[in-house]
Amino acid sequence: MAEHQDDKVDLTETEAAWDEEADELRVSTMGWKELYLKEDWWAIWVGLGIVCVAVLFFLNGGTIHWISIKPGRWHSFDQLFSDFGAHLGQYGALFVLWLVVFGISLRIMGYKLAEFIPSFVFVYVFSIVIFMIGAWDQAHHYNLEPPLVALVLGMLISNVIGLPRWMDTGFRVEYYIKIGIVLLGATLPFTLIVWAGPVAIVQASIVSITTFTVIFFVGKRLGLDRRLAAVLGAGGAVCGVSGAIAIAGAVGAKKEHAPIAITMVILWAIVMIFFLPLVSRALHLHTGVAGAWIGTSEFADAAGFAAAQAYGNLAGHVAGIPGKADDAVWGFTLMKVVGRDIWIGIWAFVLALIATTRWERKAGTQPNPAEIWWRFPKFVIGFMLASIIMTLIAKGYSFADYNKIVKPELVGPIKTLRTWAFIFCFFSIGLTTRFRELAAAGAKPFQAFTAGVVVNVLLGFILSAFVFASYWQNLSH
Amino acid sequence: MARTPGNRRCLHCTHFRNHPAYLEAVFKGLNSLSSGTASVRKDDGICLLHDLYLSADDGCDRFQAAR
Repeated sequence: MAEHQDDKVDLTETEAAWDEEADELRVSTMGWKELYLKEDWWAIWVGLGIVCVAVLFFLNGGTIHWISIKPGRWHSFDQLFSDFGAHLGQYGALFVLWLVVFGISLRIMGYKLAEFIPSFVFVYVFSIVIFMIGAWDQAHHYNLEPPLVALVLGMLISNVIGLPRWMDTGFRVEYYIKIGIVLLGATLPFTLIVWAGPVAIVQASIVSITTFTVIFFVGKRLGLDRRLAAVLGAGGAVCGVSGAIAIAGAVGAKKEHAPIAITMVILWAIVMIFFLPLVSRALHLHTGVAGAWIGTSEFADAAGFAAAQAYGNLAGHVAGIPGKADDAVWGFTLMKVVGRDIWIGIWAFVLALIATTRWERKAGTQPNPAEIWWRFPKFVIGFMLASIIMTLIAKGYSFADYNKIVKPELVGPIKTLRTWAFIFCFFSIGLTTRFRELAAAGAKPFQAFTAGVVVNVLLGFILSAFVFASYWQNLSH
Repeated sequence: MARTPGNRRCLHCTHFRNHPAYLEAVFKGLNSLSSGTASVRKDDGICLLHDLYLSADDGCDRFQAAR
């Protein structure tokens, strides 16, 4: 197997630091243990737990409105501080709720509470500020969308000031976004998933297969190791860093391959967070269409939600942007979560099969079809269940009563908690994106990945804005 | 091609490292848009002997049982 200058990364320093505790560095998290050692399952327990509690309160004539506090719309600092002071107890209670839920789950997953607690205090305090900025009545005028503010602020703090690495324990990007997605399921009618899901799967399949093929063959043409080409391809085509790391394990990639793909995905994902909403705004795309495009062409769930929510928030505030705010998030979710994420297990199994049968991988291994289930992003189950639960609740109400009773008393508070989870996530993306720490990827992986990005963005736009536009424009209907 | 016997899988090998926090420390940026505790990662880890990132179900003739 040829060695390439482009895929060299020095990992020795970190390994040496960890060798002293070598025996604690092998863990088995599969089987039943997955239920409490994987964040996907914890996202289900936490997300569905919140939904079930909210439903119980609602069915007994109450609401969780009190604890799902958020800053009210404000114009002057007097208004802002007065509103905050009046609800200080609620902000405190919400903090305790999140702290307990995240603290217990992360502790069980093996993280240290002594690191998590101060780190989460930091995240929560800044999240309040970010939420407040978003509630300013002039925020849209200055493009101060909370997702983008959170991201930029986080990146400034981590790259200019710098934070100790142990604080990453509280910057759980994926955990927060997965909980947010489960909560999002409670605001997305299941009938919509059934109606638009197949379209999302078709669109995602076209783009994913094309993007993977482009990155893989351009990479091979440039002389990259085919495992690296496959890892890069999965990072660009399926689900970003998660896709890349899953395929790296499935095909038995060199250990320096994953960091190269991680660098590529992060750099392009950050670019796309700003680029896709900007172009969508310039073209006055319908929020549903933009959401679908972002879902097709962003590289990671967390980054995509930041872009989709930022664009969706413009609806109703910026002239010429048709659609509703929810359309952008719904379009994105359907495309990314339903259309792309859930297929990672199949990608992993197929590529593992190719690696063992065609790429002459080392002897003694045989891919197992169970791989498809083990690598399945389980939080999607929580997302679907939350949608089904809320759809069944809503079934007993007329449209008018739904808007008058169910929406403000049940759906609204869950949506607010979802927004909190998303802000924690967006801020954490910025805080964990330390550009100087990313592995040097080299020119060839960059060229191969970028070729896929170009094809992905163009094809995603054509499919979202023209071929399947009628679906994405009618999500709310 | 046979499957590796359970007790000779990489998971039980002294050269294998797959703790989520370890992987997040080694693979810089992993926790930025993904996570060491994600389901998609299964129990994959790093083989220090072969310098590969492998499934915990893999195995080889250089297997050395961990303590």
